[in-house]
Amino acid sequence: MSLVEFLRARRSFYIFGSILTAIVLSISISLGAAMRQHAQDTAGPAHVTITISGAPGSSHSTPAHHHWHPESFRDLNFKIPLGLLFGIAAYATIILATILGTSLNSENGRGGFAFTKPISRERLALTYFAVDAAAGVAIFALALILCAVALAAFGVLDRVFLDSGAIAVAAAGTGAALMWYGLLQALTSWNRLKGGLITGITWATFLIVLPLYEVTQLGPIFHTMLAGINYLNPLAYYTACSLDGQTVAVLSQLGFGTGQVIAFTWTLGIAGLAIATYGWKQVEV
Amino acid sequence: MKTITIEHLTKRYGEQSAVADLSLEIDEGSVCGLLGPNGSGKTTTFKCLLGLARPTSGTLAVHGAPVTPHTFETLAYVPERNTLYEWMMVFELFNLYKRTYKKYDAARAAELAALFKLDSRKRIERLSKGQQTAVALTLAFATRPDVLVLDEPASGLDPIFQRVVLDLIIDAAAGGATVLFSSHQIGQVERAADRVAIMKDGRLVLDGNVDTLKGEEKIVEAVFDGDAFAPNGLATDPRVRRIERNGRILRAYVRNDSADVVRRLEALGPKAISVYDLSLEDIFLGAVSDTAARNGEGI
Repeated sequence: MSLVEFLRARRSFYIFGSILTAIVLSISISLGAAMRQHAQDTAGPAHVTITISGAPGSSHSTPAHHHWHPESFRDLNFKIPLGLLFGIAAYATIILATILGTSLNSENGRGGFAFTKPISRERLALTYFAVDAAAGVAIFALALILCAVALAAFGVLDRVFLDSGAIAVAAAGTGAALMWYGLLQALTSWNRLKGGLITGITWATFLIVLPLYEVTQLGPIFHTMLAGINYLNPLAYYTACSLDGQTVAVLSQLGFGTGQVIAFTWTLGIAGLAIATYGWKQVEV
Repeated sequence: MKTITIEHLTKRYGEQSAVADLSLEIDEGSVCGLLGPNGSGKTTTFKCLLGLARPTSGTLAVHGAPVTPHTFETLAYVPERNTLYEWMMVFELFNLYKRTYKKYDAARAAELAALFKLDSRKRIERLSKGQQTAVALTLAFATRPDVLVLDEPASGLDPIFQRVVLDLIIDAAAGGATVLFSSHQIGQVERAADRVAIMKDGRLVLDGNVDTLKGEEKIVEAVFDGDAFAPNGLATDPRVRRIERNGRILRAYVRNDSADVVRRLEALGPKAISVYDLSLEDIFLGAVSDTAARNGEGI
């Protein structure tokens, strides 16, 4: 039965991977074209003026004006922490995780096709989780490759370095993906609700509704309620990545440090999967 | 040896009873046709047997033990509605079964696919309802199961393929497999099944060997000169399952001893009296008709 989830995940990977590739290529091409155009407009056909806010004491004082060829972008003195790329790749993983997050639910309306095979529901659920996890790893890798290709196109791939926070950022980002995936499985594995609808509702809730509660006056009851629900919001744990000196750290809306984000997201994700598996085992067709 | 044993199965959904105190045993190598009107509890019985629904009470066993995932190595189920992955291609489903079942017979699958004229490169969603049923049946029979549970297996198939399905069922039973199948086509059950169980409102109302039931059940038809005859207490006779009255004609559906019923009708002075064998359809209609008609109330 792993073949079913493999084919399903592969299809989602192809579609989302294609969209991701198209987006990265579009951004890269547009950025390259804009830089060339800017060079032509401001400094003749081969030059562009840019302003760089550099670190105090660096060779690029603040603000500094440079004339450069687009081809000489690589001559600028900056470095790219790998954690930043991991942070970007984690968002791609989060999106795919939400696409695959209703895989158990998708079996519930099939008159027990999956449940009349010589494999227990628990093992089947674990198989589906493993296949989906592999797809998550694949999209993480694809996103990294696309970043690398884009950086190589600008001739700055060699500026990437392994910063001390990179692994932690990757763990926190994939933890957020796991948390959202586990939440969706727990919400949908035991019922026949439309999986896509629930996924959409979680996106709308986590991306729009919950971030608003801090800046709008909803009254103390709603505020407390939404603040409570926000603890189920993976994006409240893994809100953004920030450059902290020579390394990247996770910014959490809930005020957690990177280590806490890793601990909470992975724990909640695994708990969600345990609840989902138990719920799926109880499903009557 | 009993392959399928159902004892006092009751399944309720809230206040509604889908199956009520159903007991049924099916011998190894037997083909049992489960008949009943829509909503009589056939599919629910299958689901409880296969562990897809939890019985409210009662016990169910296949080969003497409750169904576990391991049971499905040798038990194939074809549900009433198509439940195949519509986005998969036929050959992908064949691959899935090949990976899933130890006893999967690829040659048999190819043979059946050819028999049903299936295009293995087509997506399931592009197949007709009948072809989707054919795929499900091909997969079921290709696993060489010991037990087949088929919920309206010929649904959506044309008469030629319906005949093919019946032949497959008969062949499987001849090879030692036990088959439990439901159908609304009584002719199919009559042709393939050696045993019939009839359900109504969740209850088993008739169960037995097809030939025995047909032998036991007779229609005694009497034609009178006028329609003012009295049935002489026939309706209360326990052997009389049902009485129909149509003008000058009276039909009594009799179980076991029809000779005594004939003698009692002859005493009423009919113009003519005849005794017919019942078809399975007559038996079915007799079993599922309402209580009033069965007991001849008002006659």
